[in-house]
Amino acid sequence: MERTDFEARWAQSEPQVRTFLAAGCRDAAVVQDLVQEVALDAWRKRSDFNPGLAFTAWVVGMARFTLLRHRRDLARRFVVLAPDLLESLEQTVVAESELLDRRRGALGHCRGKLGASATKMLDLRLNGGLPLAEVARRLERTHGAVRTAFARTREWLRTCIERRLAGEPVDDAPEEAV
Amino acid sequence: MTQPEALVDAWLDNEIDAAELARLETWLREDPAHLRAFVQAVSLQESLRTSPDALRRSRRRRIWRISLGSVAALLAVIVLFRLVFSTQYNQVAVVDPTENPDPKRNPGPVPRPNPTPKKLPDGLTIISGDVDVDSSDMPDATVASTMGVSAGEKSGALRWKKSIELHLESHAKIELNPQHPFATPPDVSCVALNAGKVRISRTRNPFAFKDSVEVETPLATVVGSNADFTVAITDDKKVVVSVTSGSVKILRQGKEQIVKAGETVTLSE
Repeated sequence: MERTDFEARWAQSEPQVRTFLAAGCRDAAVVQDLVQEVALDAWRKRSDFNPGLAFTAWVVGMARFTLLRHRRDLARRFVVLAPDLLESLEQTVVAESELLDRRRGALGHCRGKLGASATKMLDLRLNGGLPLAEVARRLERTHGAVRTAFARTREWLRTCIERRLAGEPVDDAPEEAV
Repeated sequence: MTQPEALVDAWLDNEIDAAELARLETWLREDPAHLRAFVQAVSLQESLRTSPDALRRSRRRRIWRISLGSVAALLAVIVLFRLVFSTQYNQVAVVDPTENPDPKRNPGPVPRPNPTPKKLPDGLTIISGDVDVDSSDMPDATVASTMGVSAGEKSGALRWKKSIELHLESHAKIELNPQHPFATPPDVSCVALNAGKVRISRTRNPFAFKDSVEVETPLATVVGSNADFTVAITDDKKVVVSVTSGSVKILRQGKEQIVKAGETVTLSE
């Protein structure tokens, strides 16, 4: 497989690999390391890939074995789901791949409708990598309030994505809801 | 009893405890629809984390961190350099005949070596011998690309990423796989050994990162951190791992084997 071909396929499949790993392992830093490990594994084993098969299924399968390899160490910290669930998750991610791509596309629109405070909160937590307690401290809110705000934001985004995919209009997110 | 949505939220917030994890696992096993909902929730969160805006912001932050770190490191090196060498210059008069031409003391121009350095990828230097680097396949995107390296009739040596020296016996062939460009140190330096014998040793550069080195062979992967070791593929397709200092891990078929300094292990099909 040529480099450009590999890169194009990886770019297409990487979100599914990341989703699978984050579904199976709750530590974002570990997930980031494992995504890179899978990318390297896939690149090294690219000659084994059968072009007639689905690349996403191939690399997500590789991600499962990568996660299983690390599970013994990580399990003590309650961060990795049980092996039987990893297998089910692998099948689900591969089967839902197209839908996940469509939802990801709709998310860009919905994210733009979030208010400034929700955007800042998401940025601190997800891109700054801060734990909820630290996000709460920086926003001068209680831990519980921030946890609830996160849950509401996720729920609002989920509803927005579904309305968007159904072709229904979506209003801006109410600031007080998040 | 905690609602399933709250369990999923606790997972996404990285605040789940052992009892909640067990309940989450039970709920996921109950119905494939639960698995789909869970995967969608995780996908949403990961998409928020990796949206283009987010990546741009995190790259900007990383560039700042790297810039500030680099400036500090550079200043430290300059201060050290000046401290060490100013003392030496005070003690010894250094005369460079090409800078101070004196026909009586220096009858002719001093012939200087005229190297014709081959353009090599960043971080790769040929130290000695007969080594050919094929770097036409340079990394410029989101995944690692390889550099093919082969030794000719004679053996040769390369320095990679300042901290790793690769000594190739004649006709040895390896591939160097740089880490993912977004990786943060310490990273893993990957060497695929296709034929012959390669010795991995660490430079004594105290400023270099001590990354792990992985040597992938057809039979196993050999992982060394701060170790000096040799990996060879024999004519009968066996893999021989020999450790000079430190220790390495051999990963094969899901099992690990530690090889310590002074030990040699031979692997066969």
